[in-house]
This record gives sequence, C-alpha cells and structure tokens, in this order.
Amino acid sequence: MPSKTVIDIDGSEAVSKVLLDLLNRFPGLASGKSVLFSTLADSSGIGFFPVSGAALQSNKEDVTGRVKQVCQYPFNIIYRAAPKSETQRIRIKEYLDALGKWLEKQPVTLSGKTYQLDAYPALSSGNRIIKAISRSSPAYLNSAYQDGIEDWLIALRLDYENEFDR
Amino acid sequence: MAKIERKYLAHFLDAGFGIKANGESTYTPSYVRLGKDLEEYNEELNPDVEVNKNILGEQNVVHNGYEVQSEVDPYYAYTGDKLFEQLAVIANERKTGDDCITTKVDVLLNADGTVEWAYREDVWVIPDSVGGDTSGVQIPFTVYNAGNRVKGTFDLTTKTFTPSTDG
Repeated sequence: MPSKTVIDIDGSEAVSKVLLDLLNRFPGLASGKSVLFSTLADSSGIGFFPVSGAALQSNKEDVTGRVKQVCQYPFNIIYRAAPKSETQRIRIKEYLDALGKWLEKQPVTLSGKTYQLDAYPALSSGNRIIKAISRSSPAYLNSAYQDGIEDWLIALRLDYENEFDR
Repeated sequence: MAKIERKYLAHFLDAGFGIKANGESTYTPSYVRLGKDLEEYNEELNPDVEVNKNILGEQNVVHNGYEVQSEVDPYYAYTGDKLFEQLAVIANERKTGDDCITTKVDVLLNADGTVEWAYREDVWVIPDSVGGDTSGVQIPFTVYNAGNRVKGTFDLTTKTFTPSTDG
C-alpha cells in the first residue's frame, strides 16, 4: 500500500507568506506590478500557485531526541499575457527563466544590470529554514486560449528544514 | 513496562580537555552533550574473550576485559561550538598524548529528568577526518575509553559530575 504524503501545514502557511514577499522583491518586476497569490487577472498578470502543501520528505531523530525534518514545497509561477509575436513569447519565457534563476541565487542580468539574491528570508514559524529554491522545469507555454491569451508556467520547489525537540 | 527512549541515555564530553593539565581538584570541566545529528551512537564494548575447550569437553571462557570505543560520525561544526574548536586544534596541530585526553560522562535519565545513574571515564578523543560533503564542515572523531571509570551523580543544569563517596 503506498504511504500517505504527510503535509507540514504550519510550514506551508509560513512559506506561502514569505515566498510571496520574496517574489515581489524580484528586481525584474515592473514598477506597479505585483505577483499575486493563487489568482490571476483575466487577461494579464503574474501569480504564484502552490501545487500542494509542504510535503514531508524525511524525518530524522538524533539520539538526543532532536528531530530534523526536510520538507518540500512545490509551486508554479504563471505569467498570463497576450503576446502578439514570437519575440514577445520569447521575452516572457526569458523573464520566467530569469526569475527562476534569481530564486536559485544565480546571478541574473536584467536591463544590463546584474542582480543576485544573497540570502533567503527567514521563516517565521518555528525553527524552519529555507535551504534552497530550485526549478523543476524551464518556463513553457502551459495554456493558450482562443482570445490570444496565454499562460506561461515555470515549476519550482522550495526545500526547507524544520527542527524541534521531541 | 515502558521501553526507554534513546534520548534518555545521554553522553557528555568535556570540551575543555583540561583534566590532565590541571588535575581533578582544581579543574572545572565544560561538558557538552554528544548526539546532535547522530541517528545512532554506540559505545562498543569490544570484549576480549577467548573460548576454548579442554580435553574433557568442558568449555573454558577467558575474559580479559574490554576495549571500549565509540565513533561520533557525523560531527558537524557549528559556530561557537567549544568541542569543535578543540577538535580543530587537535587536528590542525596534529596533537597527541595528553592534549587528546578528556573525560566522558554517560548518564541514564528518567522520564522526569532525574538522573538514574552516571559514570565518568577518562577518554582519548582522536579526530578521524576534517572536511565532509556539501552539507557542512565535519570533523568526525573516535572516543577511546581509557579507564578510571567512576560512578557518581550528574547535575544536568550545571553539567557537573560528582563522584560517589561510597566507591
């Protein structure tokens, strides 16, 4: 019988808030624009969508009773727009790829300037620490609608650790 | 009858390594608990036993004692960790002899936090390697027990061992 996935509910909530703030600090975000949580406007915008909660990947207890959990929070970022040309499509894809790269703490060049995320923000809940954010896929066209609107998607995952005494 | 959880058997190592240089009467040890990041820690007794049979078919057992040792692997370096700092000195300066000698206290705790029993013993602490993978700086080491094992009490708050007076 397959084992059930255990979700760290407190961690999921803490990550969602902090990650939304982080995404809105992306240097490539146009002024006046913001990344929305789990929603998108009808015709344009950027939204971040958790795929599920933060799934518990491993749970280790040391001989002192200290428990260390590794959790994984998968999420998608969707860029909705109505590109009129191939160039615009390529620009959307590059934008999302740059966002993913920036979240991985890699240097990214935007409008001739290089940016690099130096540290992940602290999670407010318990002893949770973000260890890494990494791309699960490159940006790709996820949906195309009849009115010319397209949803471009990049899949990412956030890994964090949680420690507590049992 | 409840099974005793592993966390109730605690092992403390004196990170000061000053017992030989200062003597027990004036020296104040700095005991730190071993076990962080260790999913398993065993004090291997390594009994030295010879079993033979005489011509009458009788089994004879010769027990020459124990060669006790334990491995602490992994041992991650944390900033401000006094034991890591001392291990790094031993490894970096290739220290031998008395510089590697300290004491270890094994304590069995009750669920209410009181001490069931405590034993202190002289030990040699020898780092095995320095480095590790990308998960963090590691300096795993082996603890070789060196005798002078005494029973006593251990104060968990002050981390102080007091030998029993009744021997």
